[in-house]
Amino acid sequence: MRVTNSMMTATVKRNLFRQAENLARKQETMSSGLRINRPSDDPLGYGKVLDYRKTLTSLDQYDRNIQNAKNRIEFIETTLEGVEDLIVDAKNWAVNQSGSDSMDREAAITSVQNIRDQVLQLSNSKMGGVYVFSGFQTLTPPFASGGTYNGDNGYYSVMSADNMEIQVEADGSRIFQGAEDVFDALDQLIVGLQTDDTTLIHDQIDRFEQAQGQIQMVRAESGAKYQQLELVEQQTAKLKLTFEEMLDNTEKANIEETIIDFNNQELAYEMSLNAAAKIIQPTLMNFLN
Amino acid sequence: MPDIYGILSTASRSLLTQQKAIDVTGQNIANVNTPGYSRQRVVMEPSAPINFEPGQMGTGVKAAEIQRIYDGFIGGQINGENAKLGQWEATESGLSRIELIFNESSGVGLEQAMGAFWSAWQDLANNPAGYPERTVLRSASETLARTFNTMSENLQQIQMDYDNTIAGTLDEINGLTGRIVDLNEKISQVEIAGQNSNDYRDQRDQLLKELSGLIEIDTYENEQGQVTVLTGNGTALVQSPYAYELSTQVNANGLQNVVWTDRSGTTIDITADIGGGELKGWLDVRDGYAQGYLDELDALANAIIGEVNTMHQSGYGMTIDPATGLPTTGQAFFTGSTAATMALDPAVAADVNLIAAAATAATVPGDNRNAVAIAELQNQLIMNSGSTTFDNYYSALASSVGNDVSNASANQEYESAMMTHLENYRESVSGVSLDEEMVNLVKFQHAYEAAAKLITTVDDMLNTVLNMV
Repeated sequence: MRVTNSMMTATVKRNLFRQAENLARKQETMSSGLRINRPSDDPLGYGKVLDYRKTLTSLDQYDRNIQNAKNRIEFIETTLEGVEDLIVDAKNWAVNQSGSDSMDREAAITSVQNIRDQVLQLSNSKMGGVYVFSGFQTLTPPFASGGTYNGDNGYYSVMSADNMEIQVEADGSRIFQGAEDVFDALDQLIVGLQTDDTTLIHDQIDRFEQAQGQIQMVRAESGAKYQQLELVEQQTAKLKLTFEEMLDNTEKANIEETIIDFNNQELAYEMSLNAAAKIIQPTLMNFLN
Repeated sequence: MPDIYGILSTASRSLLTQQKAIDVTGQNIANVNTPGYSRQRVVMEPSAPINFEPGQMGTGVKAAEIQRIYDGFIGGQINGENAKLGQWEATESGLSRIELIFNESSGVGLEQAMGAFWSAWQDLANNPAGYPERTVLRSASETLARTFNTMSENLQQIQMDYDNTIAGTLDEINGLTGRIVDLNEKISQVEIAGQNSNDYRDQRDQLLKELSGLIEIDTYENEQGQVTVLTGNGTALVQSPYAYELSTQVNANGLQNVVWTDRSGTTIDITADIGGGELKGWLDVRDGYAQGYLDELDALANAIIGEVNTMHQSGYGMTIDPATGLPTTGQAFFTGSTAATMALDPAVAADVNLIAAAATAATVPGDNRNAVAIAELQNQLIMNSGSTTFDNYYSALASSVGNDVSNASANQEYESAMMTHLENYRESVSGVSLDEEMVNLVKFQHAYEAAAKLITTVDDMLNTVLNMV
């Protein structure tokens, strides 16, 4: 085949451009550390990268939700523990004062009044600026000083995973007035102590036991939910690890492989330049006298 | 004449012919780097013999013609492949620009904005009465709307940019057809006189090649050496002695269509008939790819706006409506219906307590069921007639952009390789090889020297004859 000068120079130019382009691509991969620097580098892989990132964002969010729910349950647990202790105290006073002697009535009245105030205060606990025992009416204090409930039957719910809702108890009327009305029992005890009505005092003992039972039941329920949340939390953490690994495998470039490729490409480029120099220089004119 | 003067005239004819050959060799050497140049050579023939004794005697050499070494079929093939190469180069360059809009490999883009939006709803669900959560949601919603707006704007900007490019390309095409029709005239005039118009033909071939890169053409040469140039569906661009112009006309979408004007001034829209060349590439990018991606983006934005608004309007916010004394309901969340017009409702932006997290009026503010329902929209199969989620729809769109670019790239490389192959073949036939010309130079120079020597010999012979007497 007849080969002319411009064919040779064109071939040389084309090959040099191709080698330079390959070198530039390898450089890009090395400096960004990513195998996929634009959608066209790997269209299917790019789609997967977007999907994995979305899943990781979701998992992070569920994690946050679970933390919120756990914090809430921990807070309720601490509060209700305090309430239970106070009820036990009140019951002991009732037992103590239901005998016919009226010693220390004054001390008893003061103590039970204190207990009543503290229970009221605990029932109106706020967490993060909202009341935790008012149901859905989170900006309204659940219990007025007289013992009337101003909240509703709502609950606190979080999404802990796709389509999985966890509900945390928030209904003050169920907790404090479900089996027996704690405030009413305390009020009656105070009345009984003030009027020396030992029958009335004695009646309250059973009520306090019922109320304590109610609180213990709520605490047990919350405890179970807490364990459920921890299980989901662990699962979510494992899923996150899996997806992060899949994302890395798809998106990131293998460093060792990239460096070796880059060095090979540099070598190829230099050889190309070398060959080019040798081809485009000699012509017949160099040899004619 | 077959005597001493005859020999002299043979020698002088040889001198002149070899000199012409060296001249043409010089022409070839000078044009070694001219694109589209076909090497020329002098066709030497023995001049007419005359009858004498002892038989016919030759009278020397004559230069019959200057021939252009050229393969007639390769021109058409090159033009065909050049049109495809132009088309794919234009498509690839346009799509590479569009790809930047969808490139989220650094982590910032629409997928991330959507994720932040759904997350903000979830965070609100965790604390439905919270003011900070509402402001974060407002900000995430504005970012989402803005991201849609920007992507849409960028796509539309690309469409307008290629509009300008198309207008510019038409100007180039008109310029080329004008020069081609001029060359047609010159060539036919020269060839009528019986000459070879080698240089004009080379120029015209070069112009035709350039033209084929811009718009796909078919060419036919008539007996007068004039070339007729037709484009898609037989529309004539050059039909000597006329060149027909292409111009632009605004279409229903506010973009330019390509129209052809005939002799009587009637315009015909040929946009759909253009089959190749850069022009087709620009048109495909503008009307096919960019418009398609824009439509899909609009569908996504529209669906998000619609679904979120429907849910939001059925929920209850924290602000009390002075007219009813109850928490507000029926408040739209987004305004607009396309990616370009999507925005957060200004009422919501002004008062974030209008954000409806609760499902009923009585359960405000602790009820988060509406917020949860809106956040759950991200997992619902809403797009593609109920088969895909919002995020999967977008990742599929981004993936298909990448696919289109990679496809165009592959086609462009293939066409480039084909063109290289064809051009190499053309070069092999018509290209100038300096080595070959050097050899020819030596060859003709020796012949010239020999002819000169012949003249010296005849001169000596004449001297001998004159001095005989």
